[in-house]
Amino acid sequence: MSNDTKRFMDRFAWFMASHRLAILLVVLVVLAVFFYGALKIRGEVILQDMLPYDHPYLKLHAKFSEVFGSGGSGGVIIVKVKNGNIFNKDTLTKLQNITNEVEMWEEVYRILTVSIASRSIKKVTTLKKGEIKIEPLMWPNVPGTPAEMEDLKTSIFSTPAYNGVLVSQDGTAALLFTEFKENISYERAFGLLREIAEKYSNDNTSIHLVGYPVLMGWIYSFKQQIYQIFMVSMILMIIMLFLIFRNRVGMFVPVATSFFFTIVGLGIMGFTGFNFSPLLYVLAFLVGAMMVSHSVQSTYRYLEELHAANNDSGQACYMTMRSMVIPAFAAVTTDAAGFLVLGLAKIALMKQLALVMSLWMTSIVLTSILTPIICSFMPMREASDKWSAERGKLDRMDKVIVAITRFSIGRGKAVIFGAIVGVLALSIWLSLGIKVGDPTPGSPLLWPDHKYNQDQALMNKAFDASSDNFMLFYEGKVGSVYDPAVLTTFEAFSRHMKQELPDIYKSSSSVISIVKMVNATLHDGDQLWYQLPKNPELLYGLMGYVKSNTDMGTLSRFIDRMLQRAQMTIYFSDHTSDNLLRVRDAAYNFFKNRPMKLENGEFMLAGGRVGMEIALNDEMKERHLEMDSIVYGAIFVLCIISFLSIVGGAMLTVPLIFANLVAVAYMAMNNIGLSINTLPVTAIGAGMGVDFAIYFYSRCRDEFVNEGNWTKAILMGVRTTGKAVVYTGLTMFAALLPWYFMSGLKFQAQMGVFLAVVLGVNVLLTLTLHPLMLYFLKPRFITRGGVGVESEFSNAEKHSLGLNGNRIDTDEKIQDIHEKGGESNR
Amino acid sequence: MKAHFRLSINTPISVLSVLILGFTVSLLVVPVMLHAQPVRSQDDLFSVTFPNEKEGWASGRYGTILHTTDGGKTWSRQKTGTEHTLSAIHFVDSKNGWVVGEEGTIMHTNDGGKTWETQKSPVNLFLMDVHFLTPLKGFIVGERTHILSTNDGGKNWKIQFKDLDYILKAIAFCDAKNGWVVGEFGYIYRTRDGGETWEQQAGFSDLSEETGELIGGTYLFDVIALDPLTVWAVGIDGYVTKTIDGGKTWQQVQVKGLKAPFFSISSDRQNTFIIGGTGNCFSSIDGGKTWRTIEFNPPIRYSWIYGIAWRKGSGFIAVGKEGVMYRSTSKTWEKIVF
Repeated sequence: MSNDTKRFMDRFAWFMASHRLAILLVVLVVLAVFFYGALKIRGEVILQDMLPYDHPYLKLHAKFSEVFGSGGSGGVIIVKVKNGNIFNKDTLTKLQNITNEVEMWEEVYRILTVSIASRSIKKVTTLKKGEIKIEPLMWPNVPGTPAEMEDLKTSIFSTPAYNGVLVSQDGTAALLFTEFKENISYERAFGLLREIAEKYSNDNTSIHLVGYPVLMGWIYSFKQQIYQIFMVSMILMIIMLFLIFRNRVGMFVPVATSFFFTIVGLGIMGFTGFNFSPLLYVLAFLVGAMMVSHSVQSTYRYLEELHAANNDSGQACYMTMRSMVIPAFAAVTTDAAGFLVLGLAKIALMKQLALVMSLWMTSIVLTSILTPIICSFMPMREASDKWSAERGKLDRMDKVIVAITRFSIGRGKAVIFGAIVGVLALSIWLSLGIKVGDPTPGSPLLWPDHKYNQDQALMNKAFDASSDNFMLFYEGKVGSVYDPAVLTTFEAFSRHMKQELPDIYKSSSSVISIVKMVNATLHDGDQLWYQLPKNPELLYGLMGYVKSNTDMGTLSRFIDRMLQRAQMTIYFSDHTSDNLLRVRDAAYNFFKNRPMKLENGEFMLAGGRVGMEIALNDEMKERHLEMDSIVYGAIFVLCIISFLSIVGGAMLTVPLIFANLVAVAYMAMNNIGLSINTLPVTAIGAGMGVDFAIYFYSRCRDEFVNEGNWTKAILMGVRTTGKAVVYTGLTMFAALLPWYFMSGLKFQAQMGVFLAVVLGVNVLLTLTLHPLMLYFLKPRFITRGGVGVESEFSNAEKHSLGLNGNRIDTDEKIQDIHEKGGESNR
Repeated sequence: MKAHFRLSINTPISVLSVLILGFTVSLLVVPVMLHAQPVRSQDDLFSVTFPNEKEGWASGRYGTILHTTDGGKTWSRQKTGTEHTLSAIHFVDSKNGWVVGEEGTIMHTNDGGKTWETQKSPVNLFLMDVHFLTPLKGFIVGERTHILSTNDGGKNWKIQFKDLDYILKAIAFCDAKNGWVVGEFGYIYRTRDGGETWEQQAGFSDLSEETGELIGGTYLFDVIALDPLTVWAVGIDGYVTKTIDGGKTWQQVQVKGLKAPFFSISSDRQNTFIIGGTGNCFSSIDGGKTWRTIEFNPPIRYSWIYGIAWRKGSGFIAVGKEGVMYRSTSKTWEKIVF
């Protein structure tokens, strides 16, 4: 720190401290403004925002979804009969009513709404010699007579495009696919679907809902529970604070400060129009917890200073601010940097998140000003004395903390070093196994026994279709869809995928099945002809026949009106990250032996949910390393700036990487893949521990001036800041625990543990690795001295630590360690 | 194996290491098992032939040819190098066989199918059935009422006969001289001179004078000839017809069932008849007087059987949709899983 900065800090702090009432009023006004903003907050997440906008698959998908609807907003309603099968008037009427109702919704694409009761689902029958009729399968009426019913059964089960796709092979379930328009919120879509489910389920009929909007809907349904967890976490945090400080100030101030900044954050979200998804609530909570953490540091310091200043709250306020603003600034900017780099991902949601969260994080720097100000208005003269008396006793916590550090820089150097190297090696080895994407079947966001995952399992078991669809597109000149090479390529593609991926391939749907069906029917039901003619002229003629005898509604799922675009959808049973890669590899291998470009057009990969997931995983994989490097780079630079030392930067950054490796190893062990949901959490986790170390180093620097002895300075740092770090850690830990035990969202539970791991490792490192490094490296940035190198300052330390009463004891211990440490050094 | 296991459970550590080893091995093996699926074919099968009781071949879509040497219990894929649909396969002995299909595909083997070679067809039509009387002399029927013949094992194929523009679906001989061909619109042709000349026995198509609609005989899919007088044919809408006078008169045989097509008929040349079709398979053990529905295990209610072959001994093999195969043993029909 240059002298200019010091003076500026002094003046700034003095100004703040002397105008605290005015500042408090300003703060209240600001609070009101942001509170107004928070009221405007939106909680809708739109799929487009969550996907990389720059990836070729997504561009392709966006283009084709205008024509065929996007696979990402597809919902599935399954009507399942408990006893018997669906072939009774009651159930079929139900299905028909559901179909009619869904088709009428303005929120869905009507032509993409398909069930056996749809007008666009056809059966092909022989009318007379050489002529066939293509008519709706079960529209407008459900079968009335047993003979008609038998006929319907035959039509469905003998048509591969329907058997196992629209009706399960055992006949006990039927389904309806629909596609919501892209601008419909998931909550709305889910609400509509839930209404259907409630309206039509009865003793013998259960309705199951599957699809991405349903998944998101379920996640939204956890909103209330998340609020409850918030409450429990808050209460636990307050209890922890009380246990630590044993007074109302310590309990009230951090909570009040974080309440203020939470409102600020929510206000920023409200003003920027950011969509706040429930999956991100854990982030907001995390930021809240970090505020508490910073605030605890400041409160702790204030209480020390207050005692030293003989209960002069103005002086204490000034002293606290002066010494806390710089480390707080360094710590907060590193955290903000973690968020800012999220903006590198070419995903709209990430960009918004980067902006909003980094603004919010930056606002936390004000805790170091606001906390002492609020503190100074608290009635706490007696409290201060009492607290001081409490602190005066060398409590158990002190003993444990000091013992740990003493061990780390003394006798246990080799042990600690060995343990860290061992854990590091193990973590690196484990973290190599981390997957990108969803490594679990069903949705990894929910627990396996959640209704959604069970409905999904039911669908995968009973049907050949699934919500994990993969689309191959064709685009060319007007009319070129009828080029026989287009159809034969589509057919060969689906065959190739089936052969390459027999374990996950379920079925495919395209115009081909209609063409084949017509071809066989034209040949009097001879199944030999259930195929595409190899002869181009025959195929062309057949396509013409299909086109003129089938209404456009039926074909428009597969080819567009201008006959220049076509799609084939292949359904897979699984979207785990490994299988996504297999799907992609198989698809590209196919086009190794075949041209993607034809005379009049070309094939394009890949769309559908699987295509989007692949795109997302690509983006994640590509960005993750980049982001991590930049986060650490930024932290490194910021640490260098705050301590004006490269060694300091390295000493602060390396342990962070270590802590995060352990956390990533935890993810790998628990089969949590890197995804759009984990990315923000891991990014913020990266910066989470650094503030501990920054506060600690900063304190050691201040202490070194007083003590002039490494061991003493380190132990004093640990006894003061180290203790605050442990308390902060415990407070945040207490706040994270309820997520694990209470959350119905598996994702949030896992992320809670993830953050707890990062936190715990960082707390431990602050007590072990950091002192060890200081002890060994004896870096100059510590000995150069800190911000407030003044005599008053040293008084504060002694008083606050209650060293008067325990001085000898501590000195003895320190002496002891020093000798032992010295011996082992020799 | 047992002794080894007993040795290794002496200490907890070795138990653990066995567990870890087992776990690791299973981690390695499971993906391999998942990926290395058996070559089970899911392509439609249309034809099956058994020159003797043990050895048989089946053909189907995408150039599929399957081969068995144990009477149909297990099958393996043979390499054909074609993607074309192979609609019929016929072996005169365990070495010499022919397979025909779309786009004039004719392939021949003289080593039991180890290698298949393409023979040149004079027409680029969808060929429907093949039958050889000797390893040299054989016939093929197909689209546009074509009958092809060869006298040199297929080195040269010539158009032996052609008529109107209809599809001929099947050909059968009861001896070296007498043979029948059936097809679209109920057309039946017969030869009395070993395939030199062919005469029409049944079938017609016309435009109805009243309505202008196309009218004609019932489409026939398969034929079997038991002797020069007795011939059976099956076709669409559950139609079965037979003659006992060499084809002068044909009479419909009543087989109750769905109005769905019968694709094939087979017989042990005595009293047992088997008919296969869409969800619709029947057997008779009294020369066709009474029929009962075949109980396949598992059933094929909405699927279809396209080809049936008599294995010369006690049983039959039926093949059909998505590569399904059934094997009859005395009374039951069991799905072949291999």
